[in-house]
Amino acid sequence: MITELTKEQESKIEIYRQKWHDNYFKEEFNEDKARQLVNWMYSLSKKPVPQIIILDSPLSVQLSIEVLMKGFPQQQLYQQLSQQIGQQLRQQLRQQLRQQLEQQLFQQLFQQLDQQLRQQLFQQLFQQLDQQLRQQLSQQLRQQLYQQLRQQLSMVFPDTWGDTSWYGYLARYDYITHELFPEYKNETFEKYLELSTAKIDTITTFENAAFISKPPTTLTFDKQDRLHNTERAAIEYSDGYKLHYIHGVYFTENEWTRIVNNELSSEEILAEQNIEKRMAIMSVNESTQLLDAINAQLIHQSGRGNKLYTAKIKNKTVHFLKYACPSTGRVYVSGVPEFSDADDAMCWKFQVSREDYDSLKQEA
Amino acid sequence: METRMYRHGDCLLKRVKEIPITAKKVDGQTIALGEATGHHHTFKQETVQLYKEQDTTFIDVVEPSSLEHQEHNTLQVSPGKYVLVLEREMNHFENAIQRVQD
Repeated sequence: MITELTKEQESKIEIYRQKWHDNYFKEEFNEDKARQLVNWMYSLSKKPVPQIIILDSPLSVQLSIEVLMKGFPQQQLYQQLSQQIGQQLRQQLRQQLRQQLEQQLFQQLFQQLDQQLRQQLFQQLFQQLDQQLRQQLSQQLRQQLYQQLRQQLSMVFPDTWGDTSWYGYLARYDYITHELFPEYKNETFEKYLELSTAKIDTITTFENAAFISKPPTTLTFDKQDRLHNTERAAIEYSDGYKLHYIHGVYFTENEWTRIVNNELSSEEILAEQNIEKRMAIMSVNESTQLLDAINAQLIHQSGRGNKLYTAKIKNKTVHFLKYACPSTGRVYVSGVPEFSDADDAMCWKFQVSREDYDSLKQEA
Repeated sequence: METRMYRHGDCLLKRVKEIPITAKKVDGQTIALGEATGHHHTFKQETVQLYKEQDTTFIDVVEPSSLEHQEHNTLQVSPGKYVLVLEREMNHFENAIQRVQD
């Protein structure tokens, strides 16, 4: 039984992390592999070979599906297969793995090594690929589609097997199976690993058709690996579909253009309802300048670094608290009622007593 | 001394004696979701049970559990019952108190 990693095993974690990182950032979309992957997945599910449609962006995929659904409402295309196909693969892998590796062994392994592996092996990939790219992409895609199509069309959602959002997991299981249990061979998993390097951006499966989007042609991050670009879109696809981010926060193209051109007034920035958006805007426009621009006066600075400002906006005296997140260091400016002590203002924000706030040590 | 509260970004977990019996169990371990980033504050352990009563979330932590987020450091939360308090702010332009949106 494995209770801890040997130094040699530990040293190989980085190799697998880098391998899947490179699979994403250095490899190109491989159409042959993508087709093989889809056909293989359908055959695993005992489904007929589908027509595979490859498009340049997830937006093109969504629009194409919507058009087809509208045009052929009675067709079986309606029956999205994501669950069936995903389940089939999971079941097969699970059954085979369970036969080879006792469930108990896996449980022990996960309990004991999960934290270590997660931290060392997946954090960066998760952050870059799984969390930001897939979640934000699909979320913003849906939002954008909603705006563009004025909620007239029903939505379909991409499946989450075989696309690049799995690279974090694949790095994990690639490492576990090959370095920790090299004696166990699983052909299904090996084939899945191999074909997954096709670098499919999104895949959406139906009874007789599968829609694939190619990955973006441009993808840029800040130093903390968050989607970011103040000179062009952080994500661009070859068909022109693009998404704008500032330090991991999504903006519409119009919003983004006004921000990077410094066209927003201080009042507009402070009036932004979303605090993450406000923070991202301030990172471009400099928060100190923002408070200077409204002639804000520092009233009090606490030992915890919270700063309380007052300013006049439209002839009304208002107060703002400037503070940094304890773990990310991000600086926020947030409106508060009238206070004379910065920590009292923070207590108001979290609805806690001063005694409780003074005893608060567990912050992240 | 037991920790009375934890702050994780815009979320604050405050210890309570009991979870109201009228609160209803909800699935999942995600206590807050960021709209602009897609990030979320989520307990890693599935033994953590969430409850809702109207707009208030209660959390039952039965074993030491990790509260994770894509950008914030992970917090180790001790067993206990908690109420979730979400950060608020004053919108001077609308003269209204609002939950911090992220």
